[in-house]
Amino acid sequence: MYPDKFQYFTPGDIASLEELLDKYRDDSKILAGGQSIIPLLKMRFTSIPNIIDISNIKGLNFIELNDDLEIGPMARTAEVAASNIVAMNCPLLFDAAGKVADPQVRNMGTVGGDICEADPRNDMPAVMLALNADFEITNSSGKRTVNSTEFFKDAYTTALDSNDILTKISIKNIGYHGKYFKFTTMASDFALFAVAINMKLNSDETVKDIGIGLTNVSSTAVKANEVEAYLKGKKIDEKISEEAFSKLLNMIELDDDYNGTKEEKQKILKKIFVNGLKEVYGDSK
Amino acid sequence: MNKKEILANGMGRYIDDIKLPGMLYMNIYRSPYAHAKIKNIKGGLNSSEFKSYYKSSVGEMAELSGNKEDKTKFLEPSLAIDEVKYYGQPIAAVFSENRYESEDLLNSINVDFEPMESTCSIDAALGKKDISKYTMAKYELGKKFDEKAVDHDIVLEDTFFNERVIGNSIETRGCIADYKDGMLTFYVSTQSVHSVKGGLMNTLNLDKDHVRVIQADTGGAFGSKGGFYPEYLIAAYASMKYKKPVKWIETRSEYLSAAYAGRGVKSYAKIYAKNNGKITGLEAKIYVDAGAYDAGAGGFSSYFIGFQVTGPYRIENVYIESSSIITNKSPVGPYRGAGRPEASFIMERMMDLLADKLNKDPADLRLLNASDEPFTSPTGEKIEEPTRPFFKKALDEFDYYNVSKNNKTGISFFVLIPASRPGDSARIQVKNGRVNVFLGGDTHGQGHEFFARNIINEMLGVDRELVTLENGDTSLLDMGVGAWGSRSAIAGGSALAVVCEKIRDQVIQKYGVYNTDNLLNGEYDASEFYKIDFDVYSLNANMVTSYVKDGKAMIKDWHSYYDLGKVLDKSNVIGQIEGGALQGIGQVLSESLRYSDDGQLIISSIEEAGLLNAENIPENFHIKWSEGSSKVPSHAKGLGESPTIGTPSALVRSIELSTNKRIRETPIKPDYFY
Repeated sequence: MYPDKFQYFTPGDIASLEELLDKYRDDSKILAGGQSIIPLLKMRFTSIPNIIDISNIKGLNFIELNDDLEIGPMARTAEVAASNIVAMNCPLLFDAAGKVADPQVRNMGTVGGDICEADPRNDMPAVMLALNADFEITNSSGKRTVNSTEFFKDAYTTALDSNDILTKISIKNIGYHGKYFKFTTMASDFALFAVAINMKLNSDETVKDIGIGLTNVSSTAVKANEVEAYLKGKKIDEKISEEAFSKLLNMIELDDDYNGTKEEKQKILKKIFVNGLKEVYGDSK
Repeated sequence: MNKKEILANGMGRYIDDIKLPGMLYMNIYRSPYAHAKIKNIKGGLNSSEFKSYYKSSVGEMAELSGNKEDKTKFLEPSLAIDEVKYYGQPIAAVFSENRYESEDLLNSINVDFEPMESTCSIDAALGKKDISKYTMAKYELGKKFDEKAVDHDIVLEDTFFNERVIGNSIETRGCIADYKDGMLTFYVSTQSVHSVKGGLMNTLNLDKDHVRVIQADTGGAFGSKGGFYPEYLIAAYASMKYKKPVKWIETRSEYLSAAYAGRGVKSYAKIYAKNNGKITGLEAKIYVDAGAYDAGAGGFSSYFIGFQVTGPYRIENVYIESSSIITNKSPVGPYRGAGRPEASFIMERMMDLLADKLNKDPADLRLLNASDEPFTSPTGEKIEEPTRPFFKKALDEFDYYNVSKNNKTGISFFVLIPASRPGDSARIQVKNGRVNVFLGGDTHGQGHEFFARNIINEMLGVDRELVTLENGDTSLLDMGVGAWGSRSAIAGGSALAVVCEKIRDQVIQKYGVYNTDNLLNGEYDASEFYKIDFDVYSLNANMVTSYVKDGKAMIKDWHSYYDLGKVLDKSNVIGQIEGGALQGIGQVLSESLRYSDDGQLIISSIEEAGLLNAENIPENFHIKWSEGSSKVPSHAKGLGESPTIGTPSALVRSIELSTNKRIRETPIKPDYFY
């Protein structure tokens, strides 16, 4: 790899990190594993004068169950994919973490990095939207909380300012059933598209609450609000699923490209979405 | 330690491991457009200073094509002159003692482009009014026939497409040019030091005594390092200019954009057949996406495909029109198989179509169209062995009729045409109690050392551990061809066998009798170019079973039954077969070089190029062979390309039996299973 020149920092605590971010602002970027940044630098698709590696900062890597499921931004994807706490309380996140890239990338990559990079092909943004997760954001002037639905703005663009740090991910919707349905071509571990579903039923088998997020069907991850609203209170069958899919089509943008035409992609997505709803609904019963 | 252990233990010496004092790193500024005028260039070494055209003599089957046309008009300049014709074409070069700074220097080059309309696929070229402008070469094979004169009950037609794929060796291309005191020493990762030497001499007007080409350990090639590349010339010129060694080692994205790709073939086939399944006529149009320039293979590969399209089947009436089409893409070159898999795909796909139409077993239909006698096809392909008995035996070895009852089973039969001509060279040097072997074709990962050791052991009685196969070096063996086209065991092995006889004679001359002690206690040296002016074809068959799970094809059993002649080394054979099978599977399931309509390469990593993951490896390999007779001194037949020929046809058949959807293209598109 032959990137442009950059300065490399490894702060040991949040205060030093804040100082660096305040100093370099837009000329810096946090390295939280490197799943996306390293390839971008390597190919010289981007040039970042100051790289701040946060892997030495203590207290950013945790997985805890308090009132909510709380995850530190530096929890490695592989750790999340192997965590009993996550498996018991948030099967959607557990499933999705195990489907990110390959073992080497999961060992280095972090859930926080996946979220903050907001590559439209990254898996975690759609998962967070399906979970209605909250993000604690810290900078030198204090802390604030932003809901995932307010966080993802566009490709590679989030509600984070250049001196902000994601310090905690909180998931309230625990004890649901959920799965991440990821379609990849054989030529790539990145999703051609994927559907994240998180679901809880009433005792009469109608949907009590549902979260649906989609990967790589628009410039950023999509939360299928209208589809969620439509499905609430209903029992899911094939007819309902197909109707839900037709509502979903209004919320996404698929284009013709080398992976296939818009129609071909819709055909695959429909099958994944309808089968996925059926599967998670079945698990929830 | 043998070579395999050296390489596997990280002790190989590849191009990027070699560092010479004062060495400069070269980086290439490449075209971001598929087609554009260059109005002005500032910076770097560019064509205002270094104007030359290079010629790559890949050698493979060139004699067969008989193309007498002057090809010079399709030659590529080593640095673009006034115009760029493909994405990735070299325009200028920069140099620095630091690899990173050299990369940074690319930003100092300013080129004023005027983008032009590009033609980036066979279909786009065929849609043009003046197709001759887009034709690099055109051939007619067989004989035009009148439909009415052909005895037939049915006619079937279909269209096929094999997308471009590329070798994707783990090591990319690279070289070091070191010009000192009138002598150019050139280290390179290659299949042939001799083709590189020829290219350097011809273009830089150097005589043979002033160029020495040395092969570094070579981390794979699959055809893409058989020929000559413009970057070699630029590095050599720069070394002469700056009087310093110059190293070039490319990144993966450069490799994908500018190393010679393979396949890229579209075809229309029409067969005439009787209701009993006998094929009486074949017409086909074959188009090769040859790229923007003729780099040695683009012109004749369309001929080569047409020549062998009927394979093992005896068909009375055949008429093929084949063309190499000029597109705004990187020049096409040989990729493992190099025309053979494309030809077999057409014929075997038509066989399966006919079997479905007539509701016959595809194997029975193939046997019916095979032959009990030697024959010459209407295109001139001489099949010297009866094909039917061999394939009957293959079906027995596969237990085909039982397996196919319970499995989605595809089969393919084919004739392998190795590039046996014009032979190759070998040298044996005995010194200090050891035997050093040199071959005219350069081993690049196949492990030729193993068969070389076996030949020396068998013919001269020398312990295998005392034998070393050296890398290619034109100063140590001054003649040779190359390692490609399934030829090494045939041509290299035979040359080595002939030189063994010479060495033996030298020992006998000295002592009156041969024994190993007399050999190893003395010093001996002999070499020979063993000339081959005939073909060494072989018959081969594959069978594949698969199933579809979660929208993906999983391969259960992969079977081969190949005629290998004498097996020179078992581990070589198994390695070649398993590796080739994976490349055949990759071509079907995932591999491709994808371009946008305006000729931008839209992949930039080996992952996006679609190389197989471990989960796509067949669950079981069943490797069998026969040892038929061969006319050459090594008694070997060809192998290297066979698995890439037989796998795609057999695998797609197996898959379509699961889905009931016919496959006409490789790779299979993502939505195929939905």
